[in-house]
Amino acid sequence: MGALRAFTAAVLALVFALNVFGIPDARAQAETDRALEQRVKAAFLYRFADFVIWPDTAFAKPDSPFVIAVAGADGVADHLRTITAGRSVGGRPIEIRRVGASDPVPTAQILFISGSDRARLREHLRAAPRYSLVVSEVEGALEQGSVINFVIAEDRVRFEISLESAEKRGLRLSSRLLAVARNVRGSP
Amino acid sequence: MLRRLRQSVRLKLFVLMLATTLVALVTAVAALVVYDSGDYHDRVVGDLTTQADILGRSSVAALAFDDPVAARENLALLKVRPSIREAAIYNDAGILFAAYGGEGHTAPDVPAKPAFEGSRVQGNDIILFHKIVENGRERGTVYLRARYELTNRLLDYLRILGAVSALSLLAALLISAFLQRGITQPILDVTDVAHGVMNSRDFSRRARKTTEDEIGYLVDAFNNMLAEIGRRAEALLKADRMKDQFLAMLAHELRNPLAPISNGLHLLEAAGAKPEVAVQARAMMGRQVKQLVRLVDDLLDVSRITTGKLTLRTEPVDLRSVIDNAVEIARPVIDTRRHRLSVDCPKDPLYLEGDATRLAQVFSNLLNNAAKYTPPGGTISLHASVEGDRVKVIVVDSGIGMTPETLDEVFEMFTQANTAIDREQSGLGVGLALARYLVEAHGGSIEATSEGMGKGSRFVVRLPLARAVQPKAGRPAPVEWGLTSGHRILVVDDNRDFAASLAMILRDLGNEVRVEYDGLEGLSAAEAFQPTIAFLDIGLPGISGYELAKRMRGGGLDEDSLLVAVTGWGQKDDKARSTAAGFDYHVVKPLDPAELPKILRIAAEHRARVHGT
Repeated sequence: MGALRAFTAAVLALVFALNVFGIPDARAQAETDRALEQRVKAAFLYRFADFVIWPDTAFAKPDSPFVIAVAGADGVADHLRTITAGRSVGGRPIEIRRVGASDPVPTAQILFISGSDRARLREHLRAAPRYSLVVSEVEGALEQGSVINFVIAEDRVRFEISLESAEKRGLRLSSRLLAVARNVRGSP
Repeated sequence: MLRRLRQSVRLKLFVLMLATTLVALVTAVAALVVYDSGDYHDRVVGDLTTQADILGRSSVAALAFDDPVAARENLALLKVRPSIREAAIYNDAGILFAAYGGEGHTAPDVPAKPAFEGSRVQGNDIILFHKIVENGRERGTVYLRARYELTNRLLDYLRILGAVSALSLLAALLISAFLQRGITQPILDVTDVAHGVMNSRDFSRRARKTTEDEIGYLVDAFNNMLAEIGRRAEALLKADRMKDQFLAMLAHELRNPLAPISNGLHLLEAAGAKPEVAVQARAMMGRQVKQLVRLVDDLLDVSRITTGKLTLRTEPVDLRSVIDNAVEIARPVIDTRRHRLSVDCPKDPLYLEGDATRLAQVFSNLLNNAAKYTPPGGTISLHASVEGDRVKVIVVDSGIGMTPETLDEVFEMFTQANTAIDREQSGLGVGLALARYLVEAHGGSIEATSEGMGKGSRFVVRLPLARAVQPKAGRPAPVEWGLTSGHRILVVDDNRDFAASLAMILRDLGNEVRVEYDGLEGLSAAEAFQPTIAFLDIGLPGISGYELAKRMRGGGLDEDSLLVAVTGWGQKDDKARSTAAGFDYHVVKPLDPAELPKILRIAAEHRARVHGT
């Protein structure tokens, strides 16, 4: 019974994921779980922008682009480029930046730190500018100062949020975002 | 019910009130339903749209981050809205994302994808698809299916209408019962009185007036009409009584002279011997016949007055001659009763515009009246004087006088003092009525006064003087006597006594006379006899007098022959008819023997003129 349920959930997740991205079934079947996960995370990263309010001081100039920086996950960066092509956030063009292992941490509104390397995470967190929405994907990242942390629950990509970190970084998160978060730390 | 409705004002009022109330109610409810059904739809759609919008907005994050559980939790909040039976959320690709409703919220009937945009009514449900748009991007669609309860609302309205109608029926009953006092009750009162009057002929009943409105006016009018009818009924009864009395008296008055005439005839037949007895008998009979003639003349005058056919031949007349004539007429009665009469009239002629005969009748009636109602040996005075542009004639007697009540009625037709002293001369009670009628016809006035019973009466007549007077030269020349003999005279009348007596008088005057009793015999006699004068009755057996005259004129009768119509009818058109038939002369029965010489003289002159001799 439990196995059947898990299986059903997995299929459902897959179906939903496909639905979200609108990718034809034939191609979707060919992709690996990893690729699927990266696509979902890329989409989520873009969509966070709708539920977070950055202060004007987060941008250098009034016409500065909205920068999403991806550290250590080129696949995610590629997907983001595809998704955001021709789109904007708050009237600003979207710019996707890959951040290599040796690259300095850029000024970005959203900074995704991929991987489970806690040392690197700590480094990037320290280097990240104040108004960056730092997103991570390792257990316990919130305690280190990450604002949003991806988790896999029941074979689905979910996330948890630290309001404390968001506050420190001067970001305001929508209650609707909190409503779909799996876990929210620090009371609003 | 319909029959009762037609007959009852009260029921009509009630139905009127009820119908008005119901019509107003139905109209109001219909208007409310029409307005409300539109309003209800708008409200339901607006409500659902708002609901869908809230659901959509709160589910944007769930859609964005692929969290159907969160979406389902949002939808589950609809539990507090039982009218929403189903709900669903679709993602931006139109694929079902989360559903709600049905048994255990399995939502089996939720459409697989959005079917349309907006709202639609489907049976008892309303379906709404509402797009979720945020930051200019379409995020998905919300689907809601809710109960659409318009029919139930209409049923509710009908129930309310029924209840309110029942209540208003009750109210109408109460109000109509209350109003009945103000409107129907007075009408019912009048109706009751009307019924009473119809049944009992009691015109003294009156309806009670309780209001000052139109019905009050109606009641007043009704009461006035009742009073008027009462007065008329009484007047009719009185007139009827007077007619009865008059008929009784007429019979009596006509019978009175007949006894002495009959006695006189006996005397004449039996006596033969004593000439002085015969002279007395003839004189007595003559008086009685005159009395009879006077009675019938009075009757004819009454008939002319009541039918409006009395005509006056007006000409300038001298008051003096009028009074002389009146005194002459009244003299026999005055002398019989040994009254002293004094007449005081201005010496200068006073001209009136009037009918000499009728004016003489007025004063002779007054004098007769005075003579009748004064005990024998009394005094009667007639005094004439000028008063402005009128003459005033006062007739005063020392008679029995009148009470104030009698004064009011003295000029009424058929009225007589109950205490007539001498029934023999009492007459028909029309004398004063005729006098008043004639005086008024001449533009004058008459009034009676009396100090009371036993203190005499005083009658005052005022007549207008003629304005411009051209008096005729003296009195009419007296009738010339002569040329009354030597005529050949034919008398045709079916009244044998009249015919015989006329023939006797004519023969006595020295004429040749032939008598026939019917029209056809009269015609043949005329041919054989060739009369110079023919006295023809109009109402003849065989052929009428008119026809007879026509045939005689056409049958070779001498054109100088004089035809005289002798008839009981003296109206103007009767005369015109006889003239048209070829008569030269028209005399009314009874034929006064004194007139005969005049007619004979005219015939002689006529003859002489035709023959040019």
